[in-house]
Formats: sequence, structure tokens, C-alpha cells
Amino acid sequence: MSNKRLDIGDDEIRVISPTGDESPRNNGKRKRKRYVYAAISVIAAVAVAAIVLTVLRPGNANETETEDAAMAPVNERAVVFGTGSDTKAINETGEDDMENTTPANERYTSRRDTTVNGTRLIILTPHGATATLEVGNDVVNDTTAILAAQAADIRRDNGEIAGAYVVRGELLSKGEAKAGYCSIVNGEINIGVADATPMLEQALTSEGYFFRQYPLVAAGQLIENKPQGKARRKALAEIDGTMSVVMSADKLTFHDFSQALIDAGVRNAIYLVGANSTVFYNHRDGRRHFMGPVDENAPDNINYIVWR
Amino acid sequence: MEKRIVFSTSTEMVSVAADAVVYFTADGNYSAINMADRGSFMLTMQLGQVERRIAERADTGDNRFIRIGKSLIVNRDFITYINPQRQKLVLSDCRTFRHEVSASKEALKALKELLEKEATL
Repeated sequence: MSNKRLDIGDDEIRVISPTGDESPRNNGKRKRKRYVYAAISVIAAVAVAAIVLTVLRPGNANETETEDAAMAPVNERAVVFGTGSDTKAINETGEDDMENTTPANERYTSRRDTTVNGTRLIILTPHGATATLEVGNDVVNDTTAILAAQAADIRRDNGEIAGAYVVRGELLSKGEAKAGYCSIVNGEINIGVADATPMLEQALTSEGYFFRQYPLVAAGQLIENKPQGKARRKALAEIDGTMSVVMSADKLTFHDFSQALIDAGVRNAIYLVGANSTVFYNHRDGRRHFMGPVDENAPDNINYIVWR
Repeated sequence: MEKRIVFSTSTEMVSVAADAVVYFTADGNYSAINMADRGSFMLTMQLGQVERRIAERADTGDNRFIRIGKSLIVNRDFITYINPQRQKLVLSDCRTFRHEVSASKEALKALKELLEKEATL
């Protein structure tokens, strides 16, 4: 079987046979889709050209400034959204994020508020930083951290971290837990779903990091989880190859949150501690924003994924 | 003797009976095999490589495995329920296990048509 033969779209099926003579289905639809994409591309190009011409026209500078002012960054602790639209609309809350003048070594977190099919999400993306895991609440006062979110759950019965948990190659906790995992090896984050994964061994042998959580999305597929309640949800998610922390602004079920992540373009995601857990990030201007309360009486094993 | 499929990499080997495999899923650069005994194995290979391996090992006329989109390969012997509108596919032996997976509406519609067509032959 050639690699070309192995190409397949998400809307196709193929019977796997030794001769490879079973043709892919929906070829007609694929061709039709190509025409649709071509038409959309032409329309988009015309629209972009029209917008460029409009913006460059003298006398429109004030209008542009007014729009930018409406998308100013939010400094309060509370979550505030720039739009109530039900359509997929993305607001960049950090005006500086729109510029391409960022030095390569600058470390900050950009925030994007978006609404997908009526579900409001906040997407925090670290720039120029490397992730690690950390146990304890000291990170809250650490000015070098640019983004942090509570990672693994803590067991109510004994206060231990739920599931395997590795910090700098040291196994701090072990045991059966959720099937989702996050490993950080040589600064590279991998998330996935597996009861047993070689990534745990890699984390142990290369001074890496590892934790377990509920799997939400794997390769663009929604993964169902048993808990049925609603809460503010948080996730570590891969969007276009970039890792972000994604939060729901409203209380959602696991299913609805996972679906919203998929609708927002997430390919892989695992859960992070939700509800009133602590998340904070440093905006590009250096200011720190908290998205949840800091628990002064937090258990000893409170733990974070931290970008520095 | 039952047909077995062997997946081998430099670090591991997984040998499974083809008729005990319910479905394969993609997990980034990994793939997961989900078995009829509810066990699962993680393979350090992409789903395309899994598909190639299945094709190499299949006997002529053995077309039990069907690739559905980019992320799923299912054993047709366990397909119990298809609902394209709800993007729902249930794989079950109707006795001991039941797996529910999801795929695109178009792919499930094509799968439904394929199985309906074969059932009328």
C-alpha cells in the first residue's frame, strides 16, 4: 500500500484488504468539497482585498482605533467577555498580541476569548516559556511563572495525588487513575490517552514530568467521562500544534466541554482541575491576572503545571 | 489456528488475535488497540502504519477491518449500531462488552450504506 493510498479524510471510509482494491468511499463528495473550498478561497480573497482597500482609504483611521479600544485587555479577576454573539467569534484581549514585533525570548501569556456554538471559552497560550510540574502553593508568589494551572487531582481519602505523578524524574505518586496523561520530556509536552504509556518511563528516565487526568479529546475525537455534573471546566489542550490552557466561562458537563473544545479546533486535550481551582497568567505587560481564588489552606499536594 | 496480527517496533511487540480486536484508535503518533476482553494496548506507531500492517497480514477475502476517517479502524464483526446523525457507532458482542465511538456523519453514513448494501447481496 502506498502512502498516497493511505490518505483518508475524516468523512471517508475504506475497507482494509490485502489487495488494496477496495476504493475509498465518498470520493464524489471529496471532489465536490474541493470545488466548495476553491469557491470559498476565491470569495475570501475578494473579501480580504475589499477590507484592505477599505482600511487603507483615508479617513477610516478613527474607526479602526475605536474597534481596538473595545478589545482592550481585561484586568479584573472576573471573567469578562467582549462579545455575546452565538457565532464563532474570536476576540484578542491583548492588543499587543496582534503585533508581530515580539522578541523571540520574551515570555508572556496571550489570552483569547471565544464563543463556539454558544459555549464561551477562554484560551491562555504561553509564549517563549517551558512547562514543568510543581507541588505546593509557592508558585503563586513566583514572579518568573507566566502561566500556571492546577494539574492533577488530590484524593479526598488520603490527600495523595491521584495517579502517577512525576517531578524531575522522581515518582511522587503512583496508582491507577484516569486514562489521560500529560508528559513533559525535554521541555516537550505530550498529551494522550492510555492505561499504560511509554511516556511515563521516558519521564522517569529523563528527569521529566508526568501526571494523569481525565481524557477529553484524542485525535479530534470526543472521549466520554463518567462524571455527569456541571462545573467550570479547564483543560490542557493542543490547538494547531500549540499547547494552551482552555477554560469554560460557564458551568458545563464533561461532554459539552469536550465538544466545545473540538469545535474550537482542539485535536488533543486532557482535563485540568476545574471548578474554583487556581489559574493565573502574566500578560505581556507583566501584570498578573488570577482566574480563580488562591486557596490559603490548600492541601500539601496541591500541584500545578507551570510555564516559566 | 486463529489469525494473529503482530505489531512490532524496536522496543515492543504486540500480538493479538484478529477476531478479538474490536477497534483501533489514533492517539497522535500512537495508536490504541481495544480488545474484546476490554483490555487495550498502546502502540508506538501511527494508525496508517497499523492499517498497512493489517493489510499485509490479511488473507484474501478477509475484509473485516474498516478504516473510518483519520482516527478509527473498526472490526465490522462487532458493529452493532450506527447513527450517522448522532455520530454514534456502537461496537459490541451483545454479551460481554459494549464500546461507543464517534466519527463524522459522512463517514458513518457511508459505513451504513456499505453494510446495508452487503447485507442485501
